[in-house]
Amino acid sequence: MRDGRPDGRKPNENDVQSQADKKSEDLIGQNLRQVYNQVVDEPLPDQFKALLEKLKSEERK
Amino acid sequence: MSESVEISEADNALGEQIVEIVPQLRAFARTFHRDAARADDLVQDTVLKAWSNLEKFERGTNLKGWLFTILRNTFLSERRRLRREVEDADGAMAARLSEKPAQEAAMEFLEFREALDALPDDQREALILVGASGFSYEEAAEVVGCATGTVKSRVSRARKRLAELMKLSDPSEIGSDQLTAAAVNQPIAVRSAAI
Repeated sequence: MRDGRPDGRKPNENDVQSQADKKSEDLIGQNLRQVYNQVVDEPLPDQFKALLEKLKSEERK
Repeated sequence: MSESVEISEADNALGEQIVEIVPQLRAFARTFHRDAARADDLVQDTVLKAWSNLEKFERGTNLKGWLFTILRNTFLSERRRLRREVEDADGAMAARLSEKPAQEAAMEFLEFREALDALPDDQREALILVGASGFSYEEAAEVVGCATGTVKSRVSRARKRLAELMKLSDPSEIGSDQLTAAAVNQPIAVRSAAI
């Protein structure tokens, strides 16, 4: 008696686990990039603007 | 690497490119310091060091990797210095150095960030470099100063541990529809409980 899967295969625990692992990995990747990009996208604090301006002006001399 | 910066122009172009990488340095610095001000201080020290050592940068190579390496080494030097001070100061400074304001962190950061923070330092660093900063395993290994296989192993263990912390590792408990909910809803519940 088949279990109703289109390919007629029995459900494979490894398939289910690897599918869950892939989704877990995707979700972790999304969250990770979100955490990182949250900082990347922040406006640059004034201390950096001042520092970078100073360095650039020294560079031009 | 897709985001690598190749230096092919004059020195002023190099300065401009360092400026462009500062936001990514700030994000990477959060790997080492939860406190944003301390992380930014680390980036500032990194930029100053890079600027005063521009002649040591090998043009045509990976500027972003060079800057990330300087930042990492700066952090490690500072940590070694502080550890020596702690040993000399009868442990009194140890409490101040501890960056574990658990309740504040719970309110300040997302649940995922907390899980990320719970990882061992070397695993978190490898995961950020490869999973968010855009470095290949080989480039990340150069930044960290270890073998490529070591980085791969750390990233793998980090992902596994994060999945455990976020309860994403058991397919019998988390179906496809519940996966996102587990990541989104559970942190809110935990955070509410913490508050």
